Amino acid sequence: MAKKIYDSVMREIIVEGITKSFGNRKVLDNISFTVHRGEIHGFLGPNGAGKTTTMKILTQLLSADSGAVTFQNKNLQASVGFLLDEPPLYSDMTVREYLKFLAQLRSVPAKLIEENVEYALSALDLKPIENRLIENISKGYKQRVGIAQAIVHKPEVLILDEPTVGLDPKSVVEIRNFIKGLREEHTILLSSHLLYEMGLVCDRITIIKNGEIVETGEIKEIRKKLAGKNHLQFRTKKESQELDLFIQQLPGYQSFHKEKIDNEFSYQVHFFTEQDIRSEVVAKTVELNAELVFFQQKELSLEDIFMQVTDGDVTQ
Amino acid sequence: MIGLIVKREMLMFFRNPMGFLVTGLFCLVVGWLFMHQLDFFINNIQKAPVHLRNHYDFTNEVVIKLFSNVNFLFLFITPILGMSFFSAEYKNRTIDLYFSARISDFELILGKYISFLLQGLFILAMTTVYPLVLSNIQMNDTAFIYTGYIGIFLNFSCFASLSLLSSSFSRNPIICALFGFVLIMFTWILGFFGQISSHYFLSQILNFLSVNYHLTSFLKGAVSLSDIFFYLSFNLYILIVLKKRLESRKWL
Repeated sequence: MAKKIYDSVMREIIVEGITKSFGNRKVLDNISFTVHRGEIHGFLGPNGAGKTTTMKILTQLLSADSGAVTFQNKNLQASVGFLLDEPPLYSDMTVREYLKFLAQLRSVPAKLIEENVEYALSALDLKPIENRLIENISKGYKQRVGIAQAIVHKPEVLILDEPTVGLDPKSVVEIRNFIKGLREEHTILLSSHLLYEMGLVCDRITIIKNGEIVETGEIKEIRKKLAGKNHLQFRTKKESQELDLFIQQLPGYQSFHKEKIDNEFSYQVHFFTEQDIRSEVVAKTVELNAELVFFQQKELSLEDIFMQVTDGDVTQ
Repeated sequence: MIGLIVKREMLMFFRNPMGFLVTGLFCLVVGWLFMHQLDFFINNIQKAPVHLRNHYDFTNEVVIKLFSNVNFLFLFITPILGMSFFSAEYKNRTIDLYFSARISDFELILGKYISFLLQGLFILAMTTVYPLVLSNIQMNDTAFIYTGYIGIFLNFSCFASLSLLSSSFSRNPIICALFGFVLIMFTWILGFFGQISSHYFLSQILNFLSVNYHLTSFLKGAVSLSDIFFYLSFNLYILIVLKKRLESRKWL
């Protein structure tokens, strides 16, 4: 009950029943999800799933055919910071001129413009190149300038589509930490194909496929829902048909995969059950003298979840 | 916000070599034509018998032709100057920065349009050297100079609005320039068809719709309110079409 009340109070962006078609092609089909205040919400999906279209609707660059996007704080709607696809840059301006221009365009009060520009330059480590023309800076720096423009007016809501594209590994870590740091004061909707990175920074995720939401919610809840409590990996030295039969008869059994690797038999078993069956499996291998050499309860990674809901069960 | 957009566009104009290249070529061609006409006029005067020299009117032979030439050159350079106003914004996705900011589409259009007009004024200002030359040779018909400049500027304003509209149709600036040229040529050709049409009303309508037709009175030293009204309403109409074009982004 308390969690429900908290959830409803903390909702920042509510997307309800958005549908969008381009000609006869339906790109979004009745999608709904909520983004909570002060959280980083991952927005995942394969190429062409409708992520960018959804983000464009959230930033009011596109109109939906039906459905609604509601911002809890109406004033936020016009002050969303975003970076979609490629960074929108004026190559004939210097980095500082560009950020100052955008601060002015986004109605930052005159006395705060310099302060905001300094904030964006420092946050993205752009001070060394602040007076260089944007056309002369590297792709990685251009991406950083793209993120800087999204935050130069200090928006409460940030929508970032692939913010780490084109960055070197060191920069990816820096930007990841920077985005994590923004969580305190911003609500962030983040899209990326770097699922490992997403798993590290996101509190909740929404997975979209073919214009439909296939999963949305807290990562740990989705993980629990998809994996149950038992996704077991173990290896035995001996093969046992009886063990295979035993596993398949356990409550909540869903899938079973066995293969021979280096004279050992590797098992991947997937159960949908709240019941802890680890001890039963271990006891049975001992009873059958299958010589258990490795046992692990595997937690689904974000990549596993993504693959499972978009392409089928990868644990098979 | 309009001022901010004007400032940015002017900065782009003066930082981009294209603006100077076009201005330079324009000055070169206009200068050559002016010298050629002045030379031609002087030669004719010198060769003509004394009692026929009054038939050669300096204003008609040099001043009006100078403005006609400037107007003709604007037919070519306006689409080139205007080709990137919206196409580059679409190409670089910077148009989203405006669409998501707290400015209306009309403010954006006005900002770009005003800066385009200022660029036109800058190029026109380069031609003021010729009236200065004329003032040194006792050319006293200064009214023609003033009305001519007003007319040319108003004509340019129509070319500019058409070029601005054409630049919103593609991300490719070359296609935009060609489309802008076709649009301007269309308004030019309307006057030509108006002149050759034997049907009185059709001829009047075609003439009225032709942008160049309204320049004639200005070149003759007259300022007609109906012509000014035409120019203003033409520009307003084109800018409204452009606004509708920008609004279509949400539905396409």
